[in-house]
Amino acid sequence: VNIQEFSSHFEHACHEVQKVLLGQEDIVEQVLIALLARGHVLIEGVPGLGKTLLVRTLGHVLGCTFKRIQFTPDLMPSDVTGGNIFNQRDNEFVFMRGPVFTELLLADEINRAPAKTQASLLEAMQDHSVTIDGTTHPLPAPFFVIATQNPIESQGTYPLPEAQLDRFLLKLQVQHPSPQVEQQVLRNYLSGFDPTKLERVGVERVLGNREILEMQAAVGQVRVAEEIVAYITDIVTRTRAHSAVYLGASPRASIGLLSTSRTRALASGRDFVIPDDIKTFAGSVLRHRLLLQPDAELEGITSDDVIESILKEAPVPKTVA
Amino acid sequence: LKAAHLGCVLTTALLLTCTTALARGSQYEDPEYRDSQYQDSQDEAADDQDSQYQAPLDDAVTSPDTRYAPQHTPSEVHGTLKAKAADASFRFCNDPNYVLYTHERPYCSFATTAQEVCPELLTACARPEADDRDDFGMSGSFGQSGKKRGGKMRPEGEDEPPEDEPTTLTLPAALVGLFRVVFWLLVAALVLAIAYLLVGAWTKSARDKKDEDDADDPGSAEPREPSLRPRVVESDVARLLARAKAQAQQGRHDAAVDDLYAALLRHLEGEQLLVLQRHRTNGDYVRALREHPAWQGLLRECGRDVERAQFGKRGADATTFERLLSRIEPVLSHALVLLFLALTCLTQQSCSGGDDSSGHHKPWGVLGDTSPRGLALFRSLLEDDGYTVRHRIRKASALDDETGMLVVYDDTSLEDEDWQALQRWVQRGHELWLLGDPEAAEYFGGKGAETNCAPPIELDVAFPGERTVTDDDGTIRPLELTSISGTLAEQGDLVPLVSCAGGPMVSQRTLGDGVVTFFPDLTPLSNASLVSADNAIFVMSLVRAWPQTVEFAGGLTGAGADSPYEALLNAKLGPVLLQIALLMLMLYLARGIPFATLRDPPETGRRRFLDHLTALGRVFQRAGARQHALHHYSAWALGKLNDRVRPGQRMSIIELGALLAKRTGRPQSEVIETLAEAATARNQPEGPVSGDELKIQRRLEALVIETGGNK
Repeated sequence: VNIQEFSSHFEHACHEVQKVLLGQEDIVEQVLIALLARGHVLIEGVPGLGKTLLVRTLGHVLGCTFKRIQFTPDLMPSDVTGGNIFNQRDNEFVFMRGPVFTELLLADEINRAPAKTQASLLEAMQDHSVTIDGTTHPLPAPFFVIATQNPIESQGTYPLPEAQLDRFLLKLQVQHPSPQVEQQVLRNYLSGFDPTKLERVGVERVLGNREILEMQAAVGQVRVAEEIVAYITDIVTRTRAHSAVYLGASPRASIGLLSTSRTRALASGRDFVIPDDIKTFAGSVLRHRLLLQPDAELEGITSDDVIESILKEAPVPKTVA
Repeated sequence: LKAAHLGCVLTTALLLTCTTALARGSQYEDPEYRDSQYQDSQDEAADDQDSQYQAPLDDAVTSPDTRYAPQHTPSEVHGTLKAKAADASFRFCNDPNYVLYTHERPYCSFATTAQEVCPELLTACARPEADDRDDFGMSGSFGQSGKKRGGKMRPEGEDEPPEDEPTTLTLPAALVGLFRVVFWLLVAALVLAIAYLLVGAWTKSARDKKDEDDADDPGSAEPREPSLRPRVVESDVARLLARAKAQAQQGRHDAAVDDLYAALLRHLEGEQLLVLQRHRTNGDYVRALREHPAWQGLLRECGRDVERAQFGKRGADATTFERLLSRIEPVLSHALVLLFLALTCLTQQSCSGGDDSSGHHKPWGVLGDTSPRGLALFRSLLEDDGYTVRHRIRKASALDDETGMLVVYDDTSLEDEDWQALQRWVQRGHELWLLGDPEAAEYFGGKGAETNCAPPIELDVAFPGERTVTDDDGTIRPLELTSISGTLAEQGDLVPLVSCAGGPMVSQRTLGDGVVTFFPDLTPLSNASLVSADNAIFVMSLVRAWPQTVEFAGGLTGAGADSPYEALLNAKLGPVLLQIALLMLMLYLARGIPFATLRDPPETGRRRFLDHLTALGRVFQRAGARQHALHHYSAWALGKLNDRVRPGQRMSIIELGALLAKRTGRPQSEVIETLAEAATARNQPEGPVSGDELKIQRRLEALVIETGGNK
C-alpha cells in the first residue's frame, strides 16, 4: 500500500462510517487510526451517544468479524477468553473459544466487571494471544478492542487499574452532538434508519483483513525526524515533572504517541511526521495515563488541562517564534 | 528591550520635531507674529519698490477699461440679494434678538438704508452691544460668524478696556532662576538617559554577540547550557528574506527554507493576522487564518513544502527553495509596495482638505462669515452668477490663468516675488481688487485710505455699470450708495469710479490687459454694506471676469503647500529630517527594522495548590487562629483516619487508637493521647488556646501520612 492508497482507503472508510455516525468525525478518525496503529481504544461517554453503533459500523466497513461482550459484575474470565470443557463422548477436554477470538471486540461497559475479568483481557490486548491451562491460543489478526465506560455512574463499578489503562492506546471522550446533528439523526430515523441493518443505509465494506494488515505494515515506513522524536520525549517527560501530576506517562505512552502520529501522517498523505500529528494525538494518548495529585484534583484540574498546559509550554520543532 | 526604548526615544524626538513644525505653522495664525512678518516684508518691499516695480507701471495704459459687462440688471441683483439675505444664517438681518459686538457697531450706519432687505439690523443697532474681548481680535478678516460667542453683555456706562492690554505674566526673578535650573536639569537628565540607553544597548549587543560566538565555538572550554543561553530570534522580514537568499546561494537550502518561511510568518505577524508562539504549529497558524482564505491557502501550500523539507526524507533542495521563493517573495514585496503607496496617498490626501464630497470648497474664514462684517453675501452672489469662489492658500506667485480675479484684503503677507507675479498676472488680462492695504496699493500705483467718506456719494464718469435702478413700482431712480469707508488719496493715473465729499472712494487703473481696482477697505464688500441701498448692484457691476474663478488672498495665502514634502521644506525642517533619516538608517544597518533582539519572555508559572494552602495558613497564623485551624483539621483528620482503618464504621477513640498504633507501630498511649486532644479540639471550636495546637496538629498529620494518605 503506498501513501495515496493508504490515504484513499482511510478517507473512504471514514466516509462510510460517518454515513451512520453523524457529528463524530474526530472520534471516527481517531478510532481508525488506533486500529491501523495496532492499538486499542477506550471510549468514555454517557449512554446513548452511539458508541456501540460506531463499533458495529466499523466492523461492517472494515469487513472484520465482530463480537460484543457486555461486562457485568458476575462476568467470569472464562466468559471472555473461553475455556476447556470436558467432552463426555470423547472423554477429553475441548477448548471452547470465548468471544475474545474475534477481529473486532467491543467490551461494553468494561468497568462493570471485576478486576480479574478485566485482567483477562490484558494478555489478549498486549500479546494478541490467550493462554489457558498452559496452552497459548493466538488471536486472529487484526485484533482490535474497543472498550466503553460510563463516566457518570460509579456505584457497582470497578475502575480500570492503571496497568490496564496503559494497554489502551487511546482514550476518547464522546460528547453530546450539536442540536443540528441531533436533528439530522432524528430525520434519519424518521426516514427508516435501522442501526441493525446497515446495508440498507448504503454503508459499504471498504477494507478487508489483507488491506488492514498491509496498511498496518505501511505505517512502519513513515519517517520520523530526530526533532520529532525529541518533541515526543519532551512532552512525555514534562508530564512526569508537572506539579499537578503524581504519576506521569510511561514510555509506552511515547511509543503510542509515535505510532499514532505515523499513522496520521500516512492518513494525511505524508510519509513523514510533523508536530501537528503529535499535538493532535497528545490528549487522547496521554489523558488516561496521568495520575493527578489529590490537591490538583481538588482544584478541579483534569488530565486534559495538564496536557494542554504542557503543549503550550513545549516548543515545537523548527519553531519560528 | 533597551534598544526598543531607544526607538521610543527617537520617536519622541520625531514627535517633538513635528510639534515644532506645527508650532511654526500656527505662528501664521498669531496676529502679532503675522503683523510683524507682514511689516518686515512690506518694509523690504517698499525699499525695492521703485527700482523693481515702477518700470512696468510706466508702460501701463492708464485709462479705465470699458469692457465691463454686467451679467444682471440692477433689479435682478436686488431680487437675488433679498432672497439671499433672508437666509436664516444672516442672523443680523433676520433675528430680532441679535446682539451686535462692539466692533460691529459702525455697521449701524447702513441700518437705515438696509431696512428693506435687512429689517432686523436696525433693531440690533438699537440694542446695547456685546463685549467682544473674547473675539479673535482680528481686523474683520477671520470672524467666524455673527453668532454671539459667549461674550458677556457689557454693563451700560462701563468703559471698554484698552485693545492692546498686556497679558504677559511677570514672574519673580527667583522663580525665573528656579525654572531655568529645572529646565536645564531636565535637559541634562534627558541627555543622560539617552546616553545610558545607547551605551546599554551597545554593550548588551556586544555581550550577546560574544555569547553566541562562545556557544558556536566547538573548542570553548566551558560550553554553556543551551537552556541558559538566551535564544536569539530574528524577526525582521527583510533580513530574513535576505538571509534566506544568501543561505540558498551557499547551498544551505534547509536553512534557507527555514528563513524564507520565517519571513512569511513574520510578515503575517506584522499584518496582525498571526501571533507567533513557540508552541504553535503550522497547522495552528493555518487555522488561525480561517477568516483570511487567501493567506490561509498560501500558508497551507507553503507550509506543506516547508514541512516536507524540514521533516521529510529528502530535505530541502534548490527546487523547493525556488518554488517557495516564487510564492513568498512577491507577497512580501507586494505588501511593501502597497504600504508605500498607501502612505503616499494618505499623506497626499491629508493636504487636500477643504473640498467636500461634491468637489466644492467649503466657505470658511471671511468667506463663510455671515456677520455684518463678513463676505458671505458677496461670495453667495458671485457663486449664483457661476463663479467659483475660494480662498487662495498657495503662493500668489503661482497664480495661473484659471483664476480670473483676485481680491487681496487687508492682512495679506505677500512677498516681493508674489507682487511681481501679480503684476505679470494682471497684465495678462486678469482683475485684481486691492482692499485697503496701503502698501499693496502702492505696488500698483495707488495709495491708502485717508479721510472719511462723507456724503454725497456719486458715481464718476468712468463707472461702467448702469446708473439707474427701476423699482418695483416702475419708478426709475439714480443708483444710491452708502459707505462707512475712507477715501482714497488722489493719484494722477487712477480713474475714480465713485467719489464722495472727501475724494475718490473706489478707483481703477488698467495694467496691460488687466485691471486693478482700489478700495479703501473691506467694508464695501461686507454683508452689511451689500444689504444697504444699492451697494450690491454697484459692487457686482464691477466684477467683469466671467465665467472665472475668484480667489481671495488673505493672511494664509502662501502658507499652504502642494505636498507634505513642500510643507516640511517651507517649515525649514529639511535638515532636521535629514539628520533623523540618517540616524534611522544607521540604526537600521546596525540593528535592523525592529531595533531590538527578541528574547523569550520570563516564564510565569501557575501557582500550585500548595502555595495557596501556605498562603491561607499564613493568614490563619497572622490572625492567631490556631485553635480554629486545629478544630477544622482535627474534624477532617479523625474522619479520615476512621475511614482508613475501618470504612463505614464509627469507632471510639480507644478502638481507633489501638488500631492506628498497630498500623503505625507507635505507642498506643501516645496515639490515644493525640486522638483525644484532637477530639477535644474538634468538639470545642472556640476552646481556650493552650499553645500546643501546632504540636497536636503535627502529630495528627503524622498519623494521617503514616496510614498511607496525603496530609
